[in-house]
Amino acid sequence: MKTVKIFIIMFLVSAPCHLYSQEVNIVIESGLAAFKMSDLKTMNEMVVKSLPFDVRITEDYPDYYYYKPSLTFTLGKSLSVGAVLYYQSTGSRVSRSDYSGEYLFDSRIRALSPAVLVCVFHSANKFRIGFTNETGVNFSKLQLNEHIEIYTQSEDNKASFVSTNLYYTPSVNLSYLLLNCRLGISAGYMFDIKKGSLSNTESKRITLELADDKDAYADWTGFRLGLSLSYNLLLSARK
Amino acid sequence: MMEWKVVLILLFILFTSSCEFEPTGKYVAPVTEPTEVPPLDIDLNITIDTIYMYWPISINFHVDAGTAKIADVLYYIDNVPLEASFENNTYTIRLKFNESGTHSFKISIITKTGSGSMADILGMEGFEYTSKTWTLIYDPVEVSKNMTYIYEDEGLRFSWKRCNYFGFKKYRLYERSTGYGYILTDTSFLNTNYVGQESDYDLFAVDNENNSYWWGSCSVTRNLPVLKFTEINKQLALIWNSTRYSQNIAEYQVWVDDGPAWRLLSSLPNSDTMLILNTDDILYGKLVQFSLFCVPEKYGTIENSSLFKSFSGSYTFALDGPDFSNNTGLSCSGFFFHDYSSALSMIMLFRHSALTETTDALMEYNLYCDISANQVLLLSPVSGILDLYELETMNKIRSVNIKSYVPGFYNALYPKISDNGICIFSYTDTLYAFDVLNNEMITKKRIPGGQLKISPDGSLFMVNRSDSFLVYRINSGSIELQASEKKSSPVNSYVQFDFCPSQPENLYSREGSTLYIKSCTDLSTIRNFSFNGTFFNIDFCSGKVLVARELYGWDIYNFYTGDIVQTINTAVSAGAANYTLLTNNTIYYSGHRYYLND
Repeated sequence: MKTVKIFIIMFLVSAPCHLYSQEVNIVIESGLAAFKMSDLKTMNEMVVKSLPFDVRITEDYPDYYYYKPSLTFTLGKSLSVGAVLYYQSTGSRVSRSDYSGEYLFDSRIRALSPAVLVCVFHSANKFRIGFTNETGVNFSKLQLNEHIEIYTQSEDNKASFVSTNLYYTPSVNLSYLLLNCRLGISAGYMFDIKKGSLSNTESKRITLELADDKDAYADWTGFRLGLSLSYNLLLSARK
Repeated sequence: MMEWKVVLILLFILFTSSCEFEPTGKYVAPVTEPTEVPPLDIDLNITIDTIYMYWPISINFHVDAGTAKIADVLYYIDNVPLEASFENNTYTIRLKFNESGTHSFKISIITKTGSGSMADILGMEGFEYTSKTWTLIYDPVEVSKNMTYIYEDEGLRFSWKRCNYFGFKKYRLYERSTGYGYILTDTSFLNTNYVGQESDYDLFAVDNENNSYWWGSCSVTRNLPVLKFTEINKQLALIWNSTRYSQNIAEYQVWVDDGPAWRLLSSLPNSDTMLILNTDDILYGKLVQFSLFCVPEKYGTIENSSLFKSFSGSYTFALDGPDFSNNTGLSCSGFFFHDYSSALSMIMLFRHSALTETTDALMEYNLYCDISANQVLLLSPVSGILDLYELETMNKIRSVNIKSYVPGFYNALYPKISDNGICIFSYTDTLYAFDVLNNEMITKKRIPGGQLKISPDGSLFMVNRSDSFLVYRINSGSIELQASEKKSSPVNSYVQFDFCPSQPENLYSREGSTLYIKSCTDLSTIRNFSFNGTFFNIDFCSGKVLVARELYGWDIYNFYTGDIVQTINTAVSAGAANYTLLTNNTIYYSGHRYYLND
């Protein structure tokens, strides 16, 4: 619901651009994202070391899909601006199982990121190549779940943390006009330029820490490679 | 047209939300569940079913589980689990109870399986070895009541309750007085070396780890020969009884304490039961004490004083003898004295027979009793009544109510009785002569009172007054003054006086340090002699006079010649006159007798 509200707000903010634009595109982009998450990976290693039995990190914040709907307005022949809502997630698992039971330490982290973009492009025939600057806020939520089960006894420990980061993503994209839609490909790199501490959702004073009282941060920095499909709403209205 | 676009967008949002990353990887550790139970070696070998406890105990055992690790060692008291303490692989269970009672007890050892599984590593998986369940009986002993002894012919036998503690090894019995110890395993012990000594005994139970626990104690009272004085062939002797343990006595030693320290008087074989005392050894009056030391045959050399004491028989002290001061009737056959009788809890009149050397209690001592010179009659005035007894049998011969003869008579003060039953007594300045045997008033005469003496035949009597001394004769129903003497020195005249039994017409009188023998006819001096010391008494059987020297020792004078016939030296004071008596050639003093030379 929160996501819907943010999207509607962004849509209304971009409404004035609609009055002067030649194109109003609704873009749906999805692709593969890589994440640095160095602190959280360190935390996994600490978990491994702290356990008396042998465990393995089976997943350690791997590349995963991102989803990015946006609304762009073309101003002139080579500039467009827009509003973006970024959604990305990843996670990790420390695992061990044997005949006597199972141990899992799962972390799931996701970010919902409202952002704005400015794109400079050049069109030739049906092709368009552009360079996009995108900046926004990563609202991250980390969920940790430790589960141990020995024979008939089991125990679960759960905790949630949230943080707010500022990010900047430069990218290049190439699109091709096909019927009323434009099919595109983009490649970029997300920089988490200001990272906030991961605070416990139940008590904001508690932050996720590594050894030596150093706060742990969510770090979404990494490559972004995606496919997009855009649709010009104004073209549809003229018809 | 716009509606489906919005719907499409919303669907995209829902899609993306549902495509959140979900970790799915799993690591399956390559461990296998163990099926074979590893062997366990425990060096705890309690084969019994019931464990008796008498004191807090520690059960120690070593567990060797081979390659398997020991996770926990628990023990259960009445099914309540408790954790054993350990060091390396040695475990200790400390069992202690406050009250006697019965409990169940078992041990449980849990080892890890060694499989490497999480349950194994976390200690939630293991093999459990459970011991048998023992019955634990805590039965603490009451040490002071756990050991008894009886005298047997072969020795002293101790008995005690058996120690059933599983770690029990032996008993240690200590004889505290001698320091001797015995290692025992049975519940009784016969000390065949026992001499009769008194001692405290402590018994300890010793376990396999050489810990000693007090198991019993008792105190054995002295059972040594009892030392007594006696007379053997007119000689003073010490005698003692032979006990059933005499064979364990190497020799007897008689010790005497006559001054600064004990000294050995004599050593005697264990077959002896007496020691004739040398005169020089006994004349020490109250300060002499003897002890019989039974030298043990098998107790080694006795050196320290405490050990000496435990083997010493009863001490015999030279105690105070009887009081001869009042109403003493002396004769060749014995004498009378009064003393306190602890058996009757009153002062009694005693008769000591010189012939049988026995002493009999006759009657409650009456201050006014008098005994005839021949020691046949006893006169006892009580509330105006004169009771006459035959001393031999203590039968009352006569009881005369003097009130019927003398109106207002209350009681006779210091009456005297003659051998033939003539009694004289004084009352309100009148002297009465009464024939008690015949219940007849003989006569009376106004004579102011004084100290009275009557001759054995009842014909004469003396009145010793503060200013004069008078002799009267009872003749044909009248009393006639026979002789009188005005005292020039009342203090020193007739201090001690009486008729001479062998010469009834004569009397003796001690005046200062001179003894006078005077005629009763006119009180003229027949003879006299002086002595140096304190006059005690005259023995008319032997014709001797006992005088204590100013310093230690006695002088014996011939009554008839005044010569010193024997001198007896003593190391200390020979005792007060009240406790010393010479009769029938024998000195009685402080409970002892000394026989004069014939």
